[in-house]
Amino acid sequence: MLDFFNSTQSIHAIIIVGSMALFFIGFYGIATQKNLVKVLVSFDIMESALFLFFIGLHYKVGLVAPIVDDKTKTFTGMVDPVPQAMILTTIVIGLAILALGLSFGIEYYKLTGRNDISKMNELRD
Amino acid sequence: MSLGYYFLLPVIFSFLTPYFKKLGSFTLRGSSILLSFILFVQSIAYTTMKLPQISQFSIKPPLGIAFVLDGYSLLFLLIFTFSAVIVSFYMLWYFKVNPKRDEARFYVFFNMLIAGSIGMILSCDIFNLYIFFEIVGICSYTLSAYNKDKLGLESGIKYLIIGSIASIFIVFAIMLIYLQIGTVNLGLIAQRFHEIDPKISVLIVLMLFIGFGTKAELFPMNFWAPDIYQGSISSVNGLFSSVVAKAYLFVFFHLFYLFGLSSKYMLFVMVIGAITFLVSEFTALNQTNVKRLFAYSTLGQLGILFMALSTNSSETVSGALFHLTSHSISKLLIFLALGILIHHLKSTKISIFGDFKSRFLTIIFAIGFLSILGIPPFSGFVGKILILKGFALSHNYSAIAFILLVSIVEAVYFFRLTAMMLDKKGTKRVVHVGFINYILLCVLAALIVIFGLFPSLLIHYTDLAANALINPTDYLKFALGVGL
Repeated sequence: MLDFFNSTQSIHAIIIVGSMALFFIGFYGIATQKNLVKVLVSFDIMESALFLFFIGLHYKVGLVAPIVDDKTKTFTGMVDPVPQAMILTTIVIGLAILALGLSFGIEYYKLTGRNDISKMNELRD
Repeated sequence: MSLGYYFLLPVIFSFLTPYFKKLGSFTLRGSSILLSFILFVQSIAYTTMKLPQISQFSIKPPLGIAFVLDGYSLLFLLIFTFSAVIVSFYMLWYFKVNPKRDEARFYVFFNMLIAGSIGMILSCDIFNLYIFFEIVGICSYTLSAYNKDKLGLESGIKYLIIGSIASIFIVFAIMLIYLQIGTVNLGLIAQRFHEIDPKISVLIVLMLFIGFGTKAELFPMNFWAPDIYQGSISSVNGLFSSVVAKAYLFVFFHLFYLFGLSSKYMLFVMVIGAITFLVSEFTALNQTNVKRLFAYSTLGQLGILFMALSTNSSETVSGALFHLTSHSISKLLIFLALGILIHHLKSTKISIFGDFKSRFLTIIFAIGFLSILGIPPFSGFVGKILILKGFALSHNYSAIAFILLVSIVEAVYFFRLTAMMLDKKGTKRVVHVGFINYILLCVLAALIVIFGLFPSLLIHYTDLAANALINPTDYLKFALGVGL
């Protein structure tokens, strides 16, 4: 039973199903929530789903993290480091956008006392 | 100068802004002008060199990161750096008449915006492209919220939410490409894109289309654009119209031709462009806010560009790139002149066109309007006639009829504005343009007339750009690092 879960394919299946579920939770949040903070949190959930999906699909059972030290002689048996570097960068960008969005939200709240995005409709003809 | 400086210099200037601020506002404003001037002069120097040029960083491509400059990106580089020079001079006037505004906040994001847009057109690596995409995104969110009032913040928040959705789609597309091909180098992706399973390749194309189409203001995803234009200041509007939208359009068509999608998706992009043009021009008819009006006009012109750039024939694409250059100059002219008008009349209603008295501004606005409409002897005429000629050569007469018919709608609102300016009735307020603006607007108007009378000056570069766009063999050779 546990061997079954320790195979690459079943891990990939779990990751695909889990990250898709997480993605749609985030999507539901964006579609239904009206509070700006909740919308931004939903974005983060969606992004996290993407990160999990990408990192997870590059993992194979039996491979180790791509860390090189003095004892490393060969470079086989390691997972691909490029996706991890890419995801780290994307996490940082996501954090910057989240911080910017929250700071806009705070300024807007100070000015109007509202943080409901459905009532942000002053930009119109 | 290595191509890397195009990104590095603006970033260094941007990070040094707090020190420049301590040295006084003269240094702050001067540094931005100096920076954009260096970049513009360097771009002109590249017109005399052999293209494409490459700058690699530490490792040779396709494994390492590189910047490639070909004919297509050179044209955009010239447009972006020229717009940066004009806007940085214009801000001298803006901060003189609005002395209480936070200058440092503007210049940090202005310099970064230039860095990001130039990075987007030079990068030959899809992940770096995404990073520059986000840099441009963050800077444009902040610049659109530069007015920290209700409207400004609202436009910032809206832009941020829309931009985040677009970036999620692009990240997803890049991940799918990496999972399928195992590389992020644009050259290698272009070579192996046809090997991807057709079902997944359709998904990737759809994701990229939604992501870049949202940012490049294509029809179903462009509902946000007029709001953003309304909430931000005029010089930022000019930047959005002539730099940011054009940078996203560059990437859209660069990937479109590089991945060999033109045969499959040509009709699709063309129809979407046509719908964008039609809907925007009809919506522009009943706008009462000038900024929204010109935003819809920008969307309409982008629609024509999408129609013409997707045709895969060098004549039409060259004409479209001419029209793009002319549109960038004209919209910059209109938005900068509009900024002066809004500052003096304190209103953004369309009626301000009937309330001012300045012969100079009337002529400037008339040149801008007529150039966008495509009336000789202005540059917009040459651009439109070249596009129509290209369509005629490929026997696509329905597109010609469509563009001419919808242009009538465009003529209605532009002539209405011109008539309001020429109307002698009512109380008129005298508007002082200011010395710097006088020169800037004269330069822009002169360029419109010069390119209209002597189009061969520009056609040389647009032909070069069109050939580089449609046959990217040279670009691919450099992106793959063959023979370096």
